[in-house]
Amino acid sequence: MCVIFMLVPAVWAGGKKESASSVKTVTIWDFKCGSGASKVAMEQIDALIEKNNPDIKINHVAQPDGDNYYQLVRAAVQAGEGPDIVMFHGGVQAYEFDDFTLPLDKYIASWRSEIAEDNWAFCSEGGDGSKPVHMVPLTTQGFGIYTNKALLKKAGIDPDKVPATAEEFIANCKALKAAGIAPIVGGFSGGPYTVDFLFRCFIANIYGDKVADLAKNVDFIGNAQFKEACEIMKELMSNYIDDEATSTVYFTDAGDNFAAGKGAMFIGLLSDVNNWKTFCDALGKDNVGYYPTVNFTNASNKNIQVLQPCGIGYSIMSWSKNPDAAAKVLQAYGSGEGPGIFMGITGALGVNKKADINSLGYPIVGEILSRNSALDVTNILTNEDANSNFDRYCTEAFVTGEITIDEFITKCQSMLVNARAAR
Amino acid sequence: MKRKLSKKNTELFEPYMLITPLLILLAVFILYPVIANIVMSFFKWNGIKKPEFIGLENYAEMFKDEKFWGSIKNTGILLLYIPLGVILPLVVSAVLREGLKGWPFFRAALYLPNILGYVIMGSICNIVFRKTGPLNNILNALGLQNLAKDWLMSPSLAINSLGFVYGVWLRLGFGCIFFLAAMSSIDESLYDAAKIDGAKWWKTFFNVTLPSIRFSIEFWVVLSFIEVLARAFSFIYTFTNGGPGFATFTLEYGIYTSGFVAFKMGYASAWASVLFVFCAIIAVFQVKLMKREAE
Repeated sequence: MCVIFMLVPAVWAGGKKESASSVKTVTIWDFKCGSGASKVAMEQIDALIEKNNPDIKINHVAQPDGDNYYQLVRAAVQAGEGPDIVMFHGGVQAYEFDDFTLPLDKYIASWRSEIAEDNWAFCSEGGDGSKPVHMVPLTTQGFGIYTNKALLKKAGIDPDKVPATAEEFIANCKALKAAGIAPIVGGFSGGPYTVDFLFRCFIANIYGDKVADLAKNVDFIGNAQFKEACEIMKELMSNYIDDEATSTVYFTDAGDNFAAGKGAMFIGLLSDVNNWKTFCDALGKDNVGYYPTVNFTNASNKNIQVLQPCGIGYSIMSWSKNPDAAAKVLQAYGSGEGPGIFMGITGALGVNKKADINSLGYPIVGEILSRNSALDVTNILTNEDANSNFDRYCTEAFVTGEITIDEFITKCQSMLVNARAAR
Repeated sequence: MKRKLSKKNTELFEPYMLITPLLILLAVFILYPVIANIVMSFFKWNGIKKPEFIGLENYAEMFKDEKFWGSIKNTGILLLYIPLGVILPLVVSAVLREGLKGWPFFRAALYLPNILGYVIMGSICNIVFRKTGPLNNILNALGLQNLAKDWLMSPSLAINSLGFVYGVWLRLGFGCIFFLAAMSSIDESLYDAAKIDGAKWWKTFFNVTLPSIRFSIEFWVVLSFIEVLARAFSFIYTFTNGGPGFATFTLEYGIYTSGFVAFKMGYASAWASVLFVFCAIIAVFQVKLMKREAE
């Protein structure tokens, strides 16, 4: 009798183990699924994956954003163990982990054509497209100038006309100010994001498809238009960017002020915060306009949209014991219903060509994506410059006024030197 | 004889056996990290790939780096607040020692920042010092609009706010407790004698209190140096994030940025080696003080 009692649990456990092994748990780390619209979207997509793949269970772990996230990932790499899938920002932050993420070409072969080759190239090892793809892009990230059409009309400005020159843009700002309307709502607490994002738009306008060459042999120093961009930024900061009512970090309250109709323009994003969806839902779909950039007089890249081919994406880590299951999860996020769900709920722009943008019901999205695009300059900078130094230089030059425009240009040039040395 | 020898051996080795656990902990958590840091400063390492020996390149880069010299300057500015951070708790302690109505309340209020810790206090101070924060709201309500500044977005105001809040105000509570404890050991007869001689409060303070707790004051100064050099990061991170620009970017902050934002571990180790030298100098002073006191 004792022997039977001892054997029963063993058989039961053995049986349980056998059925448990048929369900593969795929663990995902990311910095978006913890809260907000991203959480809602990812829960839906995960549920869909589990429904379509009964042998897959998803363990989606929310990690803190910012510096802490990559410190955690590095700790996992040093330990040689961790999640199956890790979210990365597109660009240098992902390339550093190329040795520790799986090549995905065989996994994406069946649906590769749904995403443009430029996006895949950006997500390849090193980012030039000559080596295997290591990341599935979920979103594209960009920056631009959202406008409140009603306020523009109130100031006597044609709300549907993108200013053809910088002078026209400044004249519009003057007219808005004269009408008692804050021309641009900005926020600088914690970081000069308004300045940072607008500069990325300027650089796209000035350099166009030569942005990538900034990491090779194209300079900021000696470029008259880059200097003009700095002077325009100085003028905007001095006279037309209103941060009076803003105080919180990450300029969220500036975005809230724009959504509340307290300013005519806002330098916003195309990802999941302070974006077209937020503003259209608040101000009305037909009341939100968009300028991709400020056009410099001699710029050859008028109305070009700055766009990162991958804002965030997922990679499979080399230690994953379930790479095939992880690949199915990646496919569900990058293809099929997943991209539409994510875009519809968060407002982040997806990269899948099959996602039906029109079904979202926001005309502005089609308008943004119809434009030619240029690479975001921070995609070619080193980690430190892209995520810390550039913002600090922008603060010194345009918020606190500690350094002159020439000194700012010299510091920006030093970032290019760092980028070239790092390659 | 054998028993005597064994007892002698035991007596000889017993002290070492007793301090061995502490020595092991010191070696593992203090000595090894210090040596490893110095060694790492000669390598290029991003935290995940194999470290690459590069000799003195990190130091050469560091001495050419504007940010390094700026961080030294900012750390120096914070150190200038140490005298006020010593004098204020001294004076407050002396006043509290005389007996003050509501003394338990003041004691609790002064010590609260120590309980909450630097991260929470940094976050609270970030909110308080914002352009639209409570400090400016109070100043405006009192009709002092010209004093309501953008504390966190002006480089000079930010570094001086940091110096005052971190170097003086945050440490006031613990400083009072520390000096009150020191003052409690002063012989009351000295105060009686001073009273008989007709000495006023300030004269008693300078001629009786201060000389009697001289060692405590010197010790507090040394502690203050360590606090500013090597313990301010968590407060700066939440209060100003090293900004605006590089205005509150200290040596400690630079170590963090180089190591955990730029992931240049070797370079961060070079910065940390410089900080180690500063702290070692302070530690030598501290040891000399303690030796003198013991004598």
